[in-house]
Amino acid sequence: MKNKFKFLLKDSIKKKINTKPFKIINIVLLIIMVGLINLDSIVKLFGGDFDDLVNIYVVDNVDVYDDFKQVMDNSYLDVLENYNAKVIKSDKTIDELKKEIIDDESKDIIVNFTNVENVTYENIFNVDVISYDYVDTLLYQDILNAINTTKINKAMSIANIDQEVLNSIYKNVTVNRVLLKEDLDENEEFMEALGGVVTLVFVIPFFFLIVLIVQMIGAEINEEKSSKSMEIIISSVSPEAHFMSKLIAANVFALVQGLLLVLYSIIGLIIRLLTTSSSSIVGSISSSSGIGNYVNMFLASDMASKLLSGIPLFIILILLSFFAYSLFIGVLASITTSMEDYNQIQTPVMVFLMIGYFLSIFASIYKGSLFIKIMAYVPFISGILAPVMYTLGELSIYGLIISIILLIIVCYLLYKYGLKVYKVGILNYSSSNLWKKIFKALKS
Amino acid sequence: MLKVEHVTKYYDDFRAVNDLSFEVKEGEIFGLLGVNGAGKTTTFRMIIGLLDKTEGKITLDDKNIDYSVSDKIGFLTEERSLLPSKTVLEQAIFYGALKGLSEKQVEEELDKYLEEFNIKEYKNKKIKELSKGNQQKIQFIISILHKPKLLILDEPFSGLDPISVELFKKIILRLKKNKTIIIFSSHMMEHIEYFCDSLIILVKGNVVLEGKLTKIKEDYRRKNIKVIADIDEEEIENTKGVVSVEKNKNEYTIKIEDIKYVDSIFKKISKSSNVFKFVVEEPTLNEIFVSKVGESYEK
Repeated sequence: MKNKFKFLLKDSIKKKINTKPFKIINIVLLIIMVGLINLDSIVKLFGGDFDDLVNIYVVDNVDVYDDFKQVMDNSYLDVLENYNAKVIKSDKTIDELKKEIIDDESKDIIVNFTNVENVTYENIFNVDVISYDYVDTLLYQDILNAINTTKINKAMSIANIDQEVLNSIYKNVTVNRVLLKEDLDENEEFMEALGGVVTLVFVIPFFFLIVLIVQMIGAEINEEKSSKSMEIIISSVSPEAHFMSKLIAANVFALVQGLLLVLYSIIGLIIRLLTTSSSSIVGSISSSSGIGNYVNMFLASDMASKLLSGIPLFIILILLSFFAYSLFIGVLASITTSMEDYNQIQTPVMVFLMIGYFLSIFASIYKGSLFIKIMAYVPFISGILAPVMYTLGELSIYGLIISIILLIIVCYLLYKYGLKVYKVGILNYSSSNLWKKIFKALKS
Repeated sequence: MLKVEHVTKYYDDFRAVNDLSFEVKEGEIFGLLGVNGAGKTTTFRMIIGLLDKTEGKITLDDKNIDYSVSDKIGFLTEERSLLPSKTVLEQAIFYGALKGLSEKQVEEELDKYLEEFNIKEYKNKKIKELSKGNQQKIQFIISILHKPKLLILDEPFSGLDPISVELFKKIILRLKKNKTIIIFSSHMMEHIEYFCDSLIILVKGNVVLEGKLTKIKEDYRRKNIKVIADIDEEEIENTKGVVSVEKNKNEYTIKIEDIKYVDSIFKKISKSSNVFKFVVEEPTLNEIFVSKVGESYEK
């Protein structure tokens, strides 16, 4: 019987992995993952309007060019780089520049500074921002900001406030952030916002793998039932062995697929590293997206250390959750008589997943929510929610352990009572009196 | 030997099989007959251990049927029980391994039978690509690959052409010769007559007829008289004991209620001219089946 179980397990895994669809899907996934990680490089590779140089011509009649250029270069350099824009002082007349832009239908922008009749602090110069077409909102907003800063500088100068005083005025207020709770870090406020992103990175693969398990178990059991081969199988191996072979095979498949996704991410990051020629992967990400500082802050934060310290328990919790979902869906699949029935009956599983998914996202928004904390202990939801809550500092290590214990209890009960239903379900081809049959099986 | 002793099966309040008993020895073919819903499938499922009995006992070579003896049983189901996405070889390995065979043993046996059925080219084809008849051949081959001690054949000739039927017959008789215990179920009574040594007819889970086929025919009082002569059809029809007179070409079939009426009919026929044939024949199993099942429903 042991050999037959091994055979069923091997056959079930082989049926999932050694297939053309699996290979094709994984090639597609590899391309998608590598593509997503290197999306900006790919976009730049193909080029487009964004590649065109945008000249910001400054026609300066009020002697503010140097100030304006300094503000743009110092404060909005990343914006200038992203839009491939350059600030240039123009000696041409405004009409000449306008003609050039109209003729070329170019994306160039003219910033025309002109004198006002009566200079006041409020009204130091007039400015026209001229372009052929609409200017991207971000770039336009930054040009306006730079103009305003230039105006303030000019006003300060008129008021005889020297550069040193000006710098002192501009210097940021030193804020001494005081947190009364002893174990809190001032960076954690920022980390909370970053937590939302971290949860998505964790939750989406979990969601994807559970859906895979649900589909795999349902399809296989239904195929064996609808083709009546179930009778031949169950006359040779016990329903227990059959049930377990299906569950383990689906979980092995999910883990293999999960590891492959991790591998594809690593391949994507390596390609990014090689193509952007940065000294590190983090540096590579930060150099193009400008989030390097945030990543470094995250890596140095309590959240990252919590995430790392919780990994062993997360793995146990996730594996148990996979198993609980497999048991539940295996039992449901056994009582259905067709794939159409199965598609309907898997709705509760999807609902559990959706609840877990949304609560994980809300967890970083509604910090301290008692409801979300309680839900982190609920089996089926805890697999997604508890690790997220722990990483956000909303759940202690004991909370994680309680979630694991509750999941073990649910797995045991599902196995004990689910198997009784499974034994009846797999050989049942009629949906009439189904509930009666299930309750009878549970009583037996 | 397969022994089924006083087996009863209830599904809630519904009695599917009632006090069923029979024995099948090695090298014997046993017919299990009945209309749809008579309890045949339930009986098969109990024999292969898929269903628990409510009462009674089923043993193979004095051992209760469980997973310790399941490797000795082969079952050809009435409906196709093949996995359409597998190839013939994969399917054979799948079921063969569940019956305790190694992949090598399966392939050796499979090659042998595929050659005998002249369908070697289907070995690596998917089940879903095969015709209904070829699927049936594969299903039959797979059910006997592991040389079962007990073989259950439920409508084995379904979807087969006459040549394949003959080939099936040859192999079934070879299995019988090799001491396989065979339970055979079919609605084609001529096949039952051809194969079965003894049989049972089930109606609503109850046994309405059982025993050796020869004895059943002998004991069945209704007979058929085949006559070739210039007879007065109406006169014969009105004779006491005659059920019906049917004419096919120049031959009459006179069905009589009881063998005791043969003498009186013979006397009447002998008065006719051009009498070339007068033969008293056993009724066909089909007639016995229809009669017994009909009687049972009337009750």
